[in-house]
Amino acid sequence: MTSPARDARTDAREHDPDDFERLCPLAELELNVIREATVGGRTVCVVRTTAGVFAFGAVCPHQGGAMRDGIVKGTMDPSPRNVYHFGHQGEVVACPWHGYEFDVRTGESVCGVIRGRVGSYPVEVRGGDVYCSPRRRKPRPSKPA
Amino acid sequence: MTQLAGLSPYPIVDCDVHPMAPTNSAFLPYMSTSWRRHFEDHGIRAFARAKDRYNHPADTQRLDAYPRAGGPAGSDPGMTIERHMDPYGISLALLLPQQPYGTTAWGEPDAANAFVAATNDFFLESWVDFDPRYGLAVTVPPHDPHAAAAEIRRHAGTPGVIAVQLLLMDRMLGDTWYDPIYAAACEAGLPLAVHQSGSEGCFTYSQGPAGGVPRSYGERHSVLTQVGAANVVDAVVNGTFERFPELKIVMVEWGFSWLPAVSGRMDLFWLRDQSQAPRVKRLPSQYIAEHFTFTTQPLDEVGRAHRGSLFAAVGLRDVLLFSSDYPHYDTDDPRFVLGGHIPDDFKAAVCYENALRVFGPGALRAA
Amino acid sequence: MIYDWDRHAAVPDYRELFPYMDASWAKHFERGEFLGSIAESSNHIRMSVRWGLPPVSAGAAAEADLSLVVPHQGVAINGWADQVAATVFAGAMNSYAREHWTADRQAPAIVVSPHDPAWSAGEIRRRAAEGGFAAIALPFGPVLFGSAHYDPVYAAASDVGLPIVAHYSGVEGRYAGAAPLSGGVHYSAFSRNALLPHLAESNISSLAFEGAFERFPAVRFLFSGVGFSWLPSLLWRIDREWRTFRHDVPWVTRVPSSYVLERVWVTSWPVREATLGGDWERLFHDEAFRGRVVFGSHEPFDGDSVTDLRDQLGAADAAQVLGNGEGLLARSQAVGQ
Repeated sequence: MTSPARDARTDAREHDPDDFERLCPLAELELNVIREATVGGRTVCVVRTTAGVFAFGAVCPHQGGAMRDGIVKGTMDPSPRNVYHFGHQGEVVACPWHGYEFDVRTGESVCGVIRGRVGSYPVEVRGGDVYCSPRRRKPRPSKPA
Repeated sequence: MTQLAGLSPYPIVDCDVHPMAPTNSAFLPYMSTSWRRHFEDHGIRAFARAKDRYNHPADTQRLDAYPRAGGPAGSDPGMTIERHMDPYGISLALLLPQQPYGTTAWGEPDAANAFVAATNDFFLESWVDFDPRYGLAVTVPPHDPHAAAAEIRRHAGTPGVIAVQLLLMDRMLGDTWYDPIYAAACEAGLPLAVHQSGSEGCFTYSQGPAGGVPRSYGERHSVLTQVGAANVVDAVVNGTFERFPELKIVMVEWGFSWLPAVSGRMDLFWLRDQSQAPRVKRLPSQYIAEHFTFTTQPLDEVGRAHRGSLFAAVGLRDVLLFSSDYPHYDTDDPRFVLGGHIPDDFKAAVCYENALRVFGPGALRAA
Repeated sequence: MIYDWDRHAAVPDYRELFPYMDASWAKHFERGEFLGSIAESSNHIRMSVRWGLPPVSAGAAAEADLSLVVPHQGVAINGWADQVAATVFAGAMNSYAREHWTADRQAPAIVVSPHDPAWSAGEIRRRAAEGGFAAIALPFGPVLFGSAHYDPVYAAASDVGLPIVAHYSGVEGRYAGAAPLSGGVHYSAFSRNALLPHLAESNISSLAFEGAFERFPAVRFLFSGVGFSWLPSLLWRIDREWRTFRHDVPWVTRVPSSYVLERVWVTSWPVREATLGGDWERLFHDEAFRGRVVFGSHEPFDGDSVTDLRDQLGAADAAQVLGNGEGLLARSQAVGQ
């Protein structure tokens, strides 16, 4: 006889059209430490930042660097000459190689520096646990760089 | 990391890999007691770039190249094999130690001589003896060409020593000041390898880009290739290869897409009036083709329209050497470069044939 | 239409400039050694080991609808120690040029000083109001073109709608304190000549990374007398660096090559530099690159004629290059910044 909790999990999988899988307790995600996880057979990166919990693709679209070795940061917005506007702390992840920046929410290249993106995967926190879906978010219609 | 079979049916020679000692004190046992005491007392500046003038906004090392046990990126010879050589099937890595680069910012020639010699002994023992796929470019001290020549002679014939790492200060490659070094290298049958030290654009006694002072790290990196071009021109114009017909120089990480324009410009002006460069007896481009090779990293990102253009330059196939620059941030991943960005008819030459010609078959110590 | 954006004119004797300057300044300049130094400026522009060549001038190109005349003796103030005298000299040169080198199909460039942007801005506005000039000759200075140091010059250039022409004088990399060349010290004029294009590369890179292109969208630049086959390699490089370092230079809001492909041109001489090894077909089949090249004969100095251009590039490509110069024509209305 299955426990009610187990039934709830099974129910979630059966009825959840986005195939969310439980990854780990939220408390296990150390701030800004990127972890790799397998979700629906796919390797994704998961991280908790000051801006929330996010899941994105494991491979940088530039030359294939492993995003799990990347770094969570903010970045400088486009600005007038010799002025810096820092922002987006916890919303940007940079590839460990050439430092290309991606938006942790959408996977898009910051300021459209490259056309490629990292995948972006839905993440939810349910009852203190992190759930992730392997269904990539569709990209927004592309804007000119 | 999984084995990537089929990346290349040929051996791959990686002509730019940077080993590091875990700390600068690792070099101390390889010096005399008095020099050891000197460096314990005075400290060791093991980097060249003036970091208050040009500082990288993040890290000059790949974030995935730091050993878990600690130490700088590239300081674990086993990790370099496990994470870089084995997965890509690299049969030979040209080791270009980075810590000696700091001596291009020093003012004490004798200290530099002692330090550089110690680094060579360290890397021979810790890397070259570790695995036959490691081939060392022994560094020569940059202040004193006679000490440099002696250091070359000290290592001539040592298995695993496959090149001489020449560090540039204010003098360019065509300067006869280098002649003792060139003579010793040719005698030993060793090519020279010239890589940026980091001092470029920093000191009164370093070389820099044209026009003025680039403001930021990225802007400086854009024009850094010019120093490579200037040295190629200087060596040709001053008749270095007439004096040393056996000399081979590997230009590491200076790029190569600028080469046809510089080479063509020199050829044109020489053809118009040879009296402008009396030491140049043949077409400048011929000297370049016979004596220089250029590593591929960082490979130009040219877009689809120019994939063919980049490699269609006359004679380019014979002067390119594959390189990764592991473990620096601006690395070229071998799978990325060899998988789709080097033309098929270039691969054998770029992966190993040109390297064999430059370093000799003895460089491949592994069976 | 045929535009020749690189022709040179010179006074045969510096005393010709005296009527065009304050009489007491003329007395200052009226010294044997200064007057004799005309030999040096005649030597600089030739980048040659030969010595003792006379000052020579080229008039309008016979076949051109418009020829730009660059007073290279004026450009050579970028090697002077006395930068106060330099602006007096340049001002006199500009007045002389307006009277002697302006004709139906020929216009001089306004010589300005990289050491004195405030004077330069005033000179640009004065001469543009007088009329007859087709460009601004900004010598290579000790500070790269992207620096805010040049803001007054670029503001004036924007206001008057004239392009900025950067042509070497020959002191670069040779005179102490002048714009350096790459590497170390090159004693050989042949070496310096081979490396002159780096001046254009560094200054383009500076204009991009310092946000000057972004800040002054109306300013057009012509890098003259330094060939052009280096351009694609430079653009690939600065774009790659921007992709890594964008966040360090966030005022560069577009990929840097995009500015260059809109508002920077390069002259064609020596065109054989690009055809000797096949670089023209290899790289400049690309319309974006090809559109940047304008005809510049470099007359009277060992240059290319229109016939040379046609022989080397073929009729169609030559026609395009000859016509590309239209993009540098004076704009009567300033484009909004």
